[in-house]
Parts: sequence; C-alpha cells; structure tokens
Amino acid sequence: MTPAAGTTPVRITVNGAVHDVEGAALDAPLLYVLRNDLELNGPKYGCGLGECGACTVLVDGVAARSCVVPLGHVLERDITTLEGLCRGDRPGPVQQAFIDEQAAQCGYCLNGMVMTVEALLRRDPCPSDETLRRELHYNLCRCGTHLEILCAARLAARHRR
Amino acid sequence: MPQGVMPQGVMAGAVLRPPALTWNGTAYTGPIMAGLDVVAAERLPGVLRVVTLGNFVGVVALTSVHAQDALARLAPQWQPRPMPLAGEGAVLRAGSRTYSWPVPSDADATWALAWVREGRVDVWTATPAPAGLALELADLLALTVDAVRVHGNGKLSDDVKGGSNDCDDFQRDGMRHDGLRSDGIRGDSVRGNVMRDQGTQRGLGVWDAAADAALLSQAVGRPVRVACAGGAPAASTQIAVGATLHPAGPSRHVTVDTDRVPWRRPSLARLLSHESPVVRVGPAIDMPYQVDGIAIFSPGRIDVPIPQISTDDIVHANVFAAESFIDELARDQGVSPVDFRLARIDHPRSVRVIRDVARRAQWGANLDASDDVRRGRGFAFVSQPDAAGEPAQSVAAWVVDVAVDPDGGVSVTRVVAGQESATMSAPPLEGTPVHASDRTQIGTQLETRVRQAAQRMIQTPPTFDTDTSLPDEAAHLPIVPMAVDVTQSGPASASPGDLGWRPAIDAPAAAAIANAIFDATGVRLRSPPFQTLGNRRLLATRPENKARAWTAVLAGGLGLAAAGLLAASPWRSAIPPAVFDPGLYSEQAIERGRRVAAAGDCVVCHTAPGGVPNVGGLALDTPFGTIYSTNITPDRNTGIGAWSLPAFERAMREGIHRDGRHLYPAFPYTSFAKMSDGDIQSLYAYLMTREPVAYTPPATALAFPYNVRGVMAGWNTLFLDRGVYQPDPTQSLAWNRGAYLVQGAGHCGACHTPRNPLGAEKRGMADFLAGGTAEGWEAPALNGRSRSPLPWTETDFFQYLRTGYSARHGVAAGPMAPVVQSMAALPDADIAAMSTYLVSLQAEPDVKREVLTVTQLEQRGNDRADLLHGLGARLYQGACAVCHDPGQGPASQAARPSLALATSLHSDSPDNLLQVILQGIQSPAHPDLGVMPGYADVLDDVQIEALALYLQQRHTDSAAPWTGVRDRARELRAGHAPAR
Repeated sequence: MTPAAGTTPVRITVNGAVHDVEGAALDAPLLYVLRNDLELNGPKYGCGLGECGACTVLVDGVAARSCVVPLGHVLERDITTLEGLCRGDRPGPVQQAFIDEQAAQCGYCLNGMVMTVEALLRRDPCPSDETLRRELHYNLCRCGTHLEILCAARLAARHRR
Repeated sequence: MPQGVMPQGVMAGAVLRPPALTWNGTAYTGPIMAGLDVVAAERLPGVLRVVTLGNFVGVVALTSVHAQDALARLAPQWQPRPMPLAGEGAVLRAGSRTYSWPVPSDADATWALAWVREGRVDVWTATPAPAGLALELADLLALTVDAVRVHGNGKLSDDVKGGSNDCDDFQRDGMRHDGLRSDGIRGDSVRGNVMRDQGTQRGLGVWDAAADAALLSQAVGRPVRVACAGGAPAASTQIAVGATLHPAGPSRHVTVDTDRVPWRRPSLARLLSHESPVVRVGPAIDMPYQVDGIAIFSPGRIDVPIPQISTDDIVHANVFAAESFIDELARDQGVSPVDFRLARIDHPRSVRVIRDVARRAQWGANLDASDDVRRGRGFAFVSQPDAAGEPAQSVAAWVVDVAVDPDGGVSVTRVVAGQESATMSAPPLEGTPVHASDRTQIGTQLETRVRQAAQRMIQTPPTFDTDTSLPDEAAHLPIVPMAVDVTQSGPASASPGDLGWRPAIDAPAAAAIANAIFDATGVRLRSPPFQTLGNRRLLATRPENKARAWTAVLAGGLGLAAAGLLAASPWRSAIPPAVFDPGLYSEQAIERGRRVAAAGDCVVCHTAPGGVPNVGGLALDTPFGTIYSTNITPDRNTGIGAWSLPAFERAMREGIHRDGRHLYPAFPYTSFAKMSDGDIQSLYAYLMTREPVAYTPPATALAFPYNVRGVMAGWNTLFLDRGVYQPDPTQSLAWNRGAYLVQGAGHCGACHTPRNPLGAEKRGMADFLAGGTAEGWEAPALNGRSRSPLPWTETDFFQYLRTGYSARHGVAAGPMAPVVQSMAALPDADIAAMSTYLVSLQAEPDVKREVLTVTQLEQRGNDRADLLHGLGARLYQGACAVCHDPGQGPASQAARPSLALATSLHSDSPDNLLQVILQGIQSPAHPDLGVMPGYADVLDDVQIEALALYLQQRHTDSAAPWTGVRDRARELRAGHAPAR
C-alpha cells in the first residue's frame, strides 16, 4: 500500500528546519533524501544495510542508521544530522573533541562515530569505558583509529560535564 | 514551565507487577520481591536504569520497546508470604460464602508523563480527577500538594469532556477522599449527586500510570512516560462474607465479616513501594446488625485483590454480599428475612425504614402464582455510616418482586424502596437551589434511579459479539413495565431544598433481586448481573422440557438436511441486484463494521501490493493454483455495489457469489460462518459505505478439476460447518469474545491450522491452530504444539498482537505484519480477549522440561558462539550482530529482537528464517520496530545456508540440523515455494 512516489511533497524536520521534499517515495531510505534532496552530506553511504554505521543520524535524539530508515517512518520526528551539531560556524563539543584528539584517518566513518557518541552522551552524560566500547562496537572503521576515537569520546564526555 | 508544553528528552518507563496483587485494606500483602537480574536488564543497549523500591519494579529506557526488552530479562523471583495463622481466620470462615461482582473492563489505553525535579513534579495525563491525583502523588513522593502540578495532555476522551459534571464529581470525590484520610475519620461515605460514572474506572488506569511515571522520574531525574494499556478484560471481584454461628451462645449469635476496602485505593506504585500501611480509611459500608451478639470484625486479616473497580461498585459489591448472606442465614433458619433483621437491629431510623418499606410492600402477603411463571419477593437493606460515628446516617431498604419464566428470564415487577437520612445535604443538582415545587421532580428522579438500578441487574449483559468499547447503547435503558414506589424522609428540620437521593438508595438493588429470585426459584445466585448465560441456565426449568428440546433438534436437523442439500447443489441461484440504502444503518453500525473489517483483515487479502485498498487483485498461491482476490468496494459493476445484504451474508456464510457461483475457500467463509448476524450486517454497512472503485482484478483460472467451481458444493458438504459461534458458558465473557474473534472474523486458523489434502482446515482441537503455512511462510503453532523456547503468556500475546513485537518471542514478519497493522483498529479489550483465549490453548507446563530464562538462553548462545567459527559466524558478525547481538551495539530507535528467542529458529523448517533473511522486514507491523534490510541481493544461497545453520546451532538444541537449506533458499528466492 505504498503510495506512488512523487504525488505529494513529504514534510520532514531536519536540524530544526521543516522541508517539503518533492517527488520522494515514502519507502525511500532517509539517507538518500538527506544527501540527494537536502544536500546534507554529513551522513555517508557505507554498506547500505545498517551494518557499518557511517550513515548514522539522530531521530528524536536517538541514533538511527539512515540507510535502513524509510522516509515514511520519520514524518513526525525530529531528525538531526552531523550538520545539526554545529554551533553557528563552530563545531559542536563532540565534533571538537574528535578534532582535538585527531581521531580521523580517512574520516569516512567519523560521521557515525560522532553521532553515536552524541546520542550516548545525551542519555548518559558520564558513560563508563565499557559503555563507550559497547556503544561503538558496531561502528566500523577500516583505518584502525579506534583508540583515538575512544579518546575523543572520553574528552567529549569531559567537555560536556 | 507553561502548562501543556511537554518536556524534551522524555524516557519511556515500564513496570513489572507481582504475580498476585493483594492487600488488606491498608497495605500490600502479595508476594515479596526476592531477586532480580538487574545487570542483565541494564546491560541492554538503550536501557537507562532498573528502579526497585520495595516491591515496586520499573525500568527506564529510551523507548517502550527497549523497556519491554529490559522487563523480559529481569527474571524476577517473587517469594510468597507466609500464610496467615490458621486459628481465628479458620473459625471466621466456618460459615462463609463468596459472592462476586462484575468489574467492567478498563477500556481506554492512555499514558502519563511525569517529571520530578527541584522538589516538585509536573504530570501530564488525561485524568478526570486532577485534584485527587495531585494528593496521591504528593503522598507517593513525600511532597506537599502545592509541589504537584497536573496538566491535561489533551487526550481526554470525548465522553469525559462532554460530561463535565462527571469531572467535577470526580474531583470532589478526590477531595473528599483526602478529607477522609487525613482526618482518619471512618466513613464520610456519601458521594454527592454522582451517577455511576465510567470515569472512575478510567481513572484507575491513569492513576497507576501517573504514579509509576512519577516514581520512575524521581529515581532517574528525567521526564518519564508510562503507557497504560487499556482493555484489562472484564472480570469480577470476589467478596467473601464470613459468619460464625457461635455454638455456645444463643442461636442467633452471629459474627459477620466482609472484605472491606476503602473508598479509593492508593496507587499501585504507593502500595508496592511502601512496606508499612499507607492508608487509614474506614469501611465502605456499615454492617448494622450489632444487637444480640452480631459483631463486626475489622478488616485486616483477609487479603483481597487490589480492586480495579470504582468506589460505587465497592459499596454495591459489599452490600450485595452482606445482604445476600443475611438472607441465606435467615432462610436457613426458616425465619422471615425481614424479621431476622429487625430482631438484630436497634437503631431507630433503620427499624423505622425497614418497617415502613415492609408495610408498604405488604411483606408476607401471598404472591399470585401461575403455572409458568415463578414469583418471589426479596428484601435488602443498607446503612451507610456517618462521620460522627453514629451507626447509621443514611439508610435504605428495598422490597422487590420478581417473575422468573421457564427459560430463566427474570423480570422485576415491582420495587418498593425507602430511605431516610439524618442530614439531606446532597441535592440532586448541586449548586442549584431546589424549591418546594421541585419535590415532584426529585421524586421522579429518585424513581428513575431506582428503576435503572433494578434494570441494570436484569438486563442482558454483553455477549461474545458485543464490542464493549463502542458507546454503550444499554446506557439508555428502555422503560420496561415495573411498578416503582419510593419514599424518602429526613429529619423534621430538613428543608425541602435539602431533599435528594443518597447513593444508598440503589445499593440494595442487587441483593434484593437475588433474594427475590431465591424466593421464587430456590436458586441462590451469587454473581450479578442475573441474566448472564450461566445464571439463566441455573434458573431455567425448560431444559427438562423435552418437547421443546426435541422440536429444536428436529427443526435443526431438518434445517441441516435442507442446508446440506443446498450446499451439495453445484448450482445456486443468483440473488438479484439491489440498491444499497445507507439510511438503514446507523453511524454506530458502520463504526462497528469498521472494526469487524479490521478484525477480519479484509484489506490484507483484498489489496494488491501497492494497489488501492479493497479493490482486490492480490495473488494467493494455493496448492491448487493461483487465486486472485476480488474487488469488495461498492462499485456496481466490478465490486459488490449491487449486492443485497442476503447476498453478502450468503457469501460470508456459505461462500456463494451473488451470481450463484461457488467461491473458493481461499476466501475463509468457513470461519466467517461463525460470525454473528449483527457483525455481518455491520460489516456490510461498512463496506457498502466506502468509496466505490471500478477495477477488475485478474481472473482466477485454476487447472482442471479445480476450475469446476461446482466441485466446491461437495467440498462444502464435507468441510463447511454452518452455525454462528456458540459461547461456552463455563468460560468468561473475555474468553468467549476472544474465541469468537479468533475462530470467526479473525480466521486465524486459515493460516495457523494445518490443512488436509483437499485444502480444508483439519478438524479437532488437537489440530486447531497447530501450525500451517501462508504465502511461503510458516504460520507457527499457536496451541500446545508451539515450539517457542519460552511459554507464551497472556501478556506476551497481548504485546505481540498489539505492537507486533514480544520481547520474549520476536517480531511479526511476513504475512503476519499486515495482520497486526490491520488489528490496530481494534480496541485493547478485543486484543486482550484474544490473548485470554489463545493462552488457554497452551500446553500445561511440563514440569520435567526446564524453562530457561531469557538471559540463560542468550548466555547459552553466547557460550556456543565462542566455539563456532567459519563462514556463518563471520556473516553473522558482519550482517546481523549490530542489531541482534544481545548486549552489544548502539542503542537505536529500532527493536533488537533476540535471536535466542526467535520461534523461527526452533522450527523443523528453516522457511521463516530464510524468508526474513532474504526479504527482510520492509513494512514492519509498527513503525517503532524499525526496518530490517533484505539480503537477497547481498548473500548467495551458500552464504545464506551457512548463516542459517550457524544460527540454528548457536541458539537451539535441535538434534536434527536443517537439511537442504541451500535448495530451499533458492526456491524461496524465486518466489515459488511449494509448501513442504
């Protein structure tokens, strides 16, 4: 019972702004709409199956892998992308922590790392190391910067306090 | 914070209740929390905290799905309390009787949100009694009332909004309750001009949800939202009345003890989190028989279920129990019930009222008797205490005459009632001065109230095909012939404006009628209302009436024979086209039809993928060929627009098209035949008032011999059971409602019951819902043959059917997901009823079989995983673990179904596992569950086989690993999946 694509604009709220997306099917992955229609390129296309985490965004403040979230499931939700963490022209605290700790190698996974840490800190401001590892367990980084990423996450938690 | 602005970052709360909720009127007396696996629950991604306070256990998590996951892993150990000392209790029970009182279902699903911070609490909820709730929360959180603010959440249901008087009354009730409690005065028991408000029932669910949310929010310092499911099935509360006839004393020395419960119980959160008594409240009614050795024991020894019933119901239930019991004592001793009471009461006002009513009713005079109708007369009395401790402030007495026909039908032919109060301070229209000229009006209102109270007891109660959540037409009772004679008197000083009714006036109704029925028939009914199927059977004399029974059998037999001939006929006549007249059907009938359609999931089969709802065209693969569903919109040419009700009903019950041709049983008319006439008519009204859509779906063309539709006539003779669902009188109304929905409109058996070689559902209870197939998926057994690693409970069924997800069993996938979506239109009460029925089909617990906890099952899988390596393990880590590994991974919006619990892994067939790996779950039963990607394009058959066998090895004890998985994956992938 999926309505045909493009009949009516689809309204979603991203980073506090309301967008009417033309020509989008409700079963289209949210990631495609964010990148292609709204030109928000913070979330990355990795595996397309929700396995790697590069496409992570926040839906109502909770981490979601946008490559497997249909557009139709987020109509009444608040979506936050990496761009939405910035404070004006400056990076947000979690982003700054990743910069400070030089946690990037190629950087492709970093959107997912930053967004997952952001989501965790929103509900648990002082996570234990075990909690951090558990939370990031399935965010894949092929460059091997996991240790730096953990340092950045700890720093972000300290900044937040 | 301005009123109505909800906080951000709200967490979801859920609570775990003890297996038995009992109290003694002041404190919780049920099982004690003795152990909890907090670590297992808190380790889950998305779970913030497990909160335990005494016997209160709750979870705070990101979403309600996470909270349910956490609850499922708590593995609580409840320790029963030591039994109370035998001695006195045993003596008390020597001459006891137990009566039950019906408790209506809590129909509304609702929620409450609480935020405790900086020494105050804000609560958003739909309570009709904000003042009472504020007092309760202040007590619960040890705050002052000023620190509690209750905001409406804009979700008040219509009848609450409409009945502003109810809301006001409810608030006053709450305030009075507070006065009672803080003063410690027993029994300022009189509520004002309050009709029996359904709001009180609705209030209790919200009351508990708000208290749960507040307690959880206080523990975690975050705003917490708790949903309370409505639809607790209608039940009854038991009221035990005990008496001891003291052998040593004079023969009339009697001790009476009822279970007494306070006016309003505290919230469950307060009862469970406090060890010490939390309330000091007097009894709901006064037992007035105190003279000559009848003593009243205080409550406290007897543990009773924590009531889910309104204050009025508590009073009425107690009066019913006590006054029936007194009547039984009197009749056992061969004494007139009126004399029996008069001999034991010395309170002047009570004596005056009893004598007056008995005189006016000509108590003791003979009743007319006729051959057919048995007549009887009954008496009952109530006394409500006042604040000053005087035994009876407000008393009322009833004499009722009843007539009982041979079929057990009861009618009340006359009521004589009287009441007297010390102070008449509750005028019928609060705030409105009542003038002397209004006395007549007051008298009329009083009479109406008495009449309604009597009628409520003898009206036909809801049956299995009543949708109890629809506006109740029974609320507008028809006037039936019944002579009513009511008087009331007050103190000489009372001014006319002070006169009005007191709640006492209708309290004796149930007992008076039961006592009259006993007088007429010698049958003692201890559970109103008196016209339930079970009660009618007790009263009927006709079953022995052989002639009538024979006639019925004969007529039925002839009918069956005729029907058999008809069914066997391969040619049936066409029913001429008709024009639908929408004026014949009420809005309510159409709304009822909408729910019947939802229960029947019509739209699921009558809609092609991506197509317009109900225009048909879905291809149904059967072993006999592909059948296309038809257009059931009211288009005259391509749909059912020209169908008359008889044509529609014939199709539903016999599987005959309007034009006379036989339909194939892919259309489950064998189930629909069980539907009641009312439901079929409503469904017809609903479908015929939809938008007509002209569309001709592909024609069904089966191969010979199945293309000869006349063959179906023979099939029907063999396999079509005619006849509407027959309720089982030994089961509850909820059970019967559930059985009716499951067997009838819901046609669960169409997929879940195995079929014979001719495509008919196998017969017999052992095969019913024993597991079947649907569209290339296995429909698992729902009865005792279920292979689920954990036994299904009623709560499991409810959550699964309501949300498509059970934390203990998994998610609805494949053809089941749209079924859950369709059932979203059904009220909670219906889902609860189906759960009640389905759980009754489960096997008796096998004591030899060890049932592991969720955590043990997952741990077992993890231990084995350490030993499993290779392709399957690697694929699992890469593709599945992020969402399915217990305890690892990010907390996300989606559900994280635990594969250790998945029914599909424990099946003999890998079909469902393969289907879900290949297709994923693109359209989940509920959006909150999230989507699973399909791996058909990513994994080849070899990889899928490796993954499936890895999961089976890791999570099951199966002695026989699946074979031929690779070939099966190829078949299912191609979409050609002959059932195996």
